[in-house]
Amino acid sequence: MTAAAVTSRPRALTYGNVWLSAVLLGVMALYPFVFGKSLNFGVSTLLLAGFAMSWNILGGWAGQLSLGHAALLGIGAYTVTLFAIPERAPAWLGLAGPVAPWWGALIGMALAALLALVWGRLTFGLRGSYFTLSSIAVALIIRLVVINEDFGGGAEGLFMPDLPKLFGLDLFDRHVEYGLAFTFVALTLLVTHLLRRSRLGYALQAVREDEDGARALGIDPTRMKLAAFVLSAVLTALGGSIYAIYLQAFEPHTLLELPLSVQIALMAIIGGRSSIQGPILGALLLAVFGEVFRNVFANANLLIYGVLILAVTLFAPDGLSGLFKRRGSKLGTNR
Amino acid sequence: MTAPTAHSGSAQSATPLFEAQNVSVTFGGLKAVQNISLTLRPGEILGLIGPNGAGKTTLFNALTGFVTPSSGRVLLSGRDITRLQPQARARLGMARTFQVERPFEDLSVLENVLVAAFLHHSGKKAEDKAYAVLERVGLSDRAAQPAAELNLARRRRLELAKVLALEPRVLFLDESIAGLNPPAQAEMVGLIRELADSGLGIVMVEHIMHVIMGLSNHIICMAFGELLAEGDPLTVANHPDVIRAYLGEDDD
Repeated sequence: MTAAAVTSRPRALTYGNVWLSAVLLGVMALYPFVFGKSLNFGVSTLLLAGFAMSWNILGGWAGQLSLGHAALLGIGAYTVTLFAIPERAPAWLGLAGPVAPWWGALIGMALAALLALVWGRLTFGLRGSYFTLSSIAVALIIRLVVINEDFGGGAEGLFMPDLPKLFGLDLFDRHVEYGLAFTFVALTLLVTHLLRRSRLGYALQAVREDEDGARALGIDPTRMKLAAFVLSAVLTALGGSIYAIYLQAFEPHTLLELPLSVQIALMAIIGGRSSIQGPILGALLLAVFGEVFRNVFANANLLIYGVLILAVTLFAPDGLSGLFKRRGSKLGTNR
Repeated sequence: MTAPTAHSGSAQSATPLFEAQNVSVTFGGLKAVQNISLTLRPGEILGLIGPNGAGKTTLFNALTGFVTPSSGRVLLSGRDITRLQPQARARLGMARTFQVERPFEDLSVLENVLVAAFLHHSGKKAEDKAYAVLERVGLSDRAAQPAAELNLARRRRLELAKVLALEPRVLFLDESIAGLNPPAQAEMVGLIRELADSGLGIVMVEHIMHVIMGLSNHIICMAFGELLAEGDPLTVANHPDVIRAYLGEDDD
């Protein structure tokens, strides 16, 4: 046993179940060819899946439940749109002409990162549910600002103007939008897999399980949560800017309100917070249920959520993905 | 009470590795720890004993930064660290275990150690460091196993591996031996002895008398938050107050 270090090391470290993600991405890539008529459903489901994945970096990995992610999504959506309409944007920005949406998206991501830093700094020092409460409040404040400031377009919202082509592709083509949403989900999956084997990822898992134990090992819980929040915020804002292009017109009450925040959180929780691909599963489930029952219950989506939450907490406390206890697909290797 | 006896006359003048000066901890009106002072040099093992409720764990928490002392000072190599957070202390070379061992159960054995190894290393080097530490405590064959599946003896060794991956200069061990069967105890004693011989300063709380008496260079006995007796193991073991404190505890 003296040469144990030389003999093959067991596969103790893993990026998680990469194959499952590859299969999921494969299915997503094939979808437009099979269901070419239902691209809208595809795009919105992919975007929701991406939002749930982004949310889970903070909610699942860092264990900080945010009910304010709609604000981050909104920052992405409003930034990309306002920068494309110079006459709408606040004068102090001094825009000479429209800014291309990809630059607008990057600016939105930077703003979201900044907001997450300040917001997290103020609230992560406290334990318990303070962060969740603060997230509702911050989202509410941002919504009020957007509604009351001229640039937000008031309650009518904003319309996306004509956009420049991206590599010769029309951004308003549903197929192109599907591609953007697909790229968004793929990016969130990639980030999560890399996180699974990174210093930050391990630190976050340690903090989530035992904050004092993590501190004893030199980990600063607040800094780790901040890093997770910034990562989550940046990805959410990116998705938000794609969402704005897809919607073409949006109002504060669809984009910035609590129900959207709740929906994002629920998709991840129902799908399984401790799993890498769980949030995608949750998004798909809620999207399908939403489609199926739209005609039956009209606007009774909340009823469906209620039933789903009850069912999941009673029968699958680890989320749906917890029902398939496959090693490696979970954040941790076991439990 | 006299100043701590000099273990080697020459080292007395040098700055101690770790030092506590008149540390007190008060919770509301309760004085959990009163005026405890101690000094630790490299390679030295300091044993902390006392009946249940004597304030050992509170003192431990005060020395490691999990509780802020209401008065007194804590020094590491002469630097005042009294108000430093545990995570900052880890970076300066202090490490501790917990009385109830707490592996990160969702992670594998290797990953548990890796969390700590990342303090000073990154990437492949951290992984190598984690493996090396697992070898040292005899857990390398369990690297891929989920930490939740380990038995008590192995959990204790995992705890030790985690703190060793921090490459500490001062180690605080909170009951690493109690509860183990005799062979496992002997292994752990051997490991601790080795660590001290390699130059670490160790402060340990332990209930098993013959173990702590055998390992320690210096013993501090507490009762009701106060210092009862201190000195070399033999002196403390025969101290009438110490005997009374322990026998008095047997009433129930």
